[in-house]
Amino acid sequence: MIKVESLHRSFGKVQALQGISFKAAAGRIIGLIGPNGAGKTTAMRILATLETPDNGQAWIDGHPVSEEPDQIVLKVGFMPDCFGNYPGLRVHEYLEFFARIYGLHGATRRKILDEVINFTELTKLLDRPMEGLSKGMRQRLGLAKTLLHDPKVLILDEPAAGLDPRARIEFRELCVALAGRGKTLLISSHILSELGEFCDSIVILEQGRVVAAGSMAEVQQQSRPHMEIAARFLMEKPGIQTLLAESPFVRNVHLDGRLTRFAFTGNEEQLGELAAQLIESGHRFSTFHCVEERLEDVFMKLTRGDVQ
Amino acid sequence: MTFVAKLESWIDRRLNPVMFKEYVLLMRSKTLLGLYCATALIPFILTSFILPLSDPGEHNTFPLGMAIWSFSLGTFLVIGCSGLATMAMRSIIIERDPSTGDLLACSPLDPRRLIWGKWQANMLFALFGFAAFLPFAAASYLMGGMDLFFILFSLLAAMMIFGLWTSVGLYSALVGKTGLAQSVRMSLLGAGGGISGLLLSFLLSRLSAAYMQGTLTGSKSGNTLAVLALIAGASLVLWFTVVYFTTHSAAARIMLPALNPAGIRRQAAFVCILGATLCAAVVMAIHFSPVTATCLMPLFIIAKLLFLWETALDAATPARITRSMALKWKSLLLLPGHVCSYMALVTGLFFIDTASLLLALAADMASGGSSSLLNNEPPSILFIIQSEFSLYLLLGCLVTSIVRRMAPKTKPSTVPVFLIAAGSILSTFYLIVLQKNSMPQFHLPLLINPVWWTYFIGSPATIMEGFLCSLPLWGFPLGHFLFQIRQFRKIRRKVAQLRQPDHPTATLDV
Repeated sequence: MIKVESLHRSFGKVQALQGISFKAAAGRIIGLIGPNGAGKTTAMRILATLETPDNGQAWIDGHPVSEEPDQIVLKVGFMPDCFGNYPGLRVHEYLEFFARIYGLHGATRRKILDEVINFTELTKLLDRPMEGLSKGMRQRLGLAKTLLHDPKVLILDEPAAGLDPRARIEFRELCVALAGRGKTLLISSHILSELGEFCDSIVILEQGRVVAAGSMAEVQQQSRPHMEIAARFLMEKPGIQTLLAESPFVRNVHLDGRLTRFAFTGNEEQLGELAAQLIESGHRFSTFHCVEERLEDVFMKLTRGDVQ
Repeated sequence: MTFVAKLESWIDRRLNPVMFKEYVLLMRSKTLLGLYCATALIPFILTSFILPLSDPGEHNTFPLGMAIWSFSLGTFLVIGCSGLATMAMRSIIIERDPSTGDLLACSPLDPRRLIWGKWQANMLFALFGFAAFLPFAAASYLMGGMDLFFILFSLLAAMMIFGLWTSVGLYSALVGKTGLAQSVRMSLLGAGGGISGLLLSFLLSRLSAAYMQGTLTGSKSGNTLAVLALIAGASLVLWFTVVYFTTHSAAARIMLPALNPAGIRRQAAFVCILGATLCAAVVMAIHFSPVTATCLMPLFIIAKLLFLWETALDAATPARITRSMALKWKSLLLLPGHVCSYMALVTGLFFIDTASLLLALAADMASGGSSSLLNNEPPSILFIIQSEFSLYLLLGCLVTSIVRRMAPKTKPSTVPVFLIAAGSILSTFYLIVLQKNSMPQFHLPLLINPVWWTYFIGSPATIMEGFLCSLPLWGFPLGHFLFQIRQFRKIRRKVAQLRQPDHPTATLDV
């Protein structure tokens, strides 16, 4: 659905994008993360036809972005990090305005507006003036506006920024529901824990380059080539460390009472064999699992925090 | 489907969404409500001051009717021109804000439709403004102070000028950077619009007085002919404005760089109007009469506006120059670049200034005023004015070409610019011949400011009109120039920063 190949964009001497490439299939949620100035917004703006790349190309649903912008604007819904309002306009008037822009007329417009309003739960806010909306309400309004023309791809730039926990959870649920409807979502955010929870794939950018890309597991694999194993034994028995050290796949064994942590470089089958060996030698444990790495940890490992 | 439902559907499909939105916003605007109230209250208060002065024994209500007409028309035009210009400008500034502009830019909305919608909304509101003015017009009519035909003509003329000022407001918001400079521009524009409205009200008051007293052309049938000719002229201007707005795409280019400008239509329209202007000048030179002068002057205004658009927008938009020059050219070239952009703007505005002055002179003549224009040699005066145009046109062309050399990415219309340049050189040459032979009293310094012309050729009242007319139009570019200087300093600092060796570059590797 989204294909980006060797995208370059510079502003004067600053190279915002230095040949980024990634792909996203339909119905997936892709998280675009990176430190400030990494090129996230520039990449999103190029996909939304607001910027033209100096080099490289991006395709949405098979259409080249810079060559067929008229087609792209109908397939993409872009929600910038802060979208302006028109003081004096009410919520339903704002949505009607954009619905008219997208060429929706008469009964069709009313039907689509009703659907979008119900989906984003804006029914109670329809008569409110835009300037009186809270941040969360405005984000929902922004999403409603973005959905009016039923785009296949949604590009959301920092949608969760400044939202309280409840609004954030509600927004996340909306995103998951949209992906369930077959829409592809490209989301940038600084709240990494949240992206890690609901994104299917992650693209990490730094200084205009892709540092890591793929599913969460793949990105974790890139940041850490071995598995981190944690085991809690039923009792402290001597000889655990020696037994683990004998395995050619075990590194960095740390004992902390009954809790043991170590790095395992082998595959899952070899890990199973190691667990069986431990049990056979009388070392019984209550838990034995692979420690999942958090997205924050992956991000900190892969990026250096350098700014252009 | 019933007829009403069909009609509703038809309107719904054709309604410009921007016009609809602007209309909703305008109707809720407190500023607009204030303007509307002022339009109704000011003439009411002024009339109440006049009433005690009128002789109660006198049964002739004509003077009072005329006074009410003049006050209400003046208020309506001043508030209308000033208010519509600033409102139009503000409405574009809001859309130029990245937060709203991005949403529109990545939508299928044609930027020309956006501009057209803004223009329509402003004109729609101007129609509402008539509601505040019409009671006074009716009172004046009932008192015998004004003829129904002339009331209709005045309304048409007012709409024409409102359309022009709305266009100028939209244009002013599209060029240059937003921020403080934009706000200053907006206030100057408001002042310019107000003075223009005042000038137009003088013109219409004088014309109406001449019309009512039958001195416009000396006979009643002549009056009717003159007014019909004026309506024709006004319609022409309105038509040109509409056509130009629907075909012009400079605004579109600013709003959406990807949009392909309709260059051929624009060039053709520009050349046609220039041709018409030249024809008008010839007609005026051969057969100079108040009617032809007043009818043909709008063409000058349109030509000047187009020139302003072509040169200032395409070649000398400060934002474009600063963007392309700051990073690609040496900083030393920045100041001349800004001066050029300033000069191009001055040139364009000067035309409007001069055209307005000519309108005032024509009005003076039409009403049989004290202007010595009729007693002097009209062709010579005309040539002086034409040469004055030429001097600035020449300057404008020169700076345009310099700007093009300095910022090659800009694409001004070359053909019209060179056409103007050729005509300008010829006219200037003719001026020199005139100065040598028949008009020794005119010398070059007088050509700098149109106020001086009126000093030599007009009455004190005309001098005041000329001064009022030129003040905001000179103040506007002056303010613009000062901001360009400020902008130049800022960019020079930025360029100096970029040149520092410790400035972070983009060659860092991950």
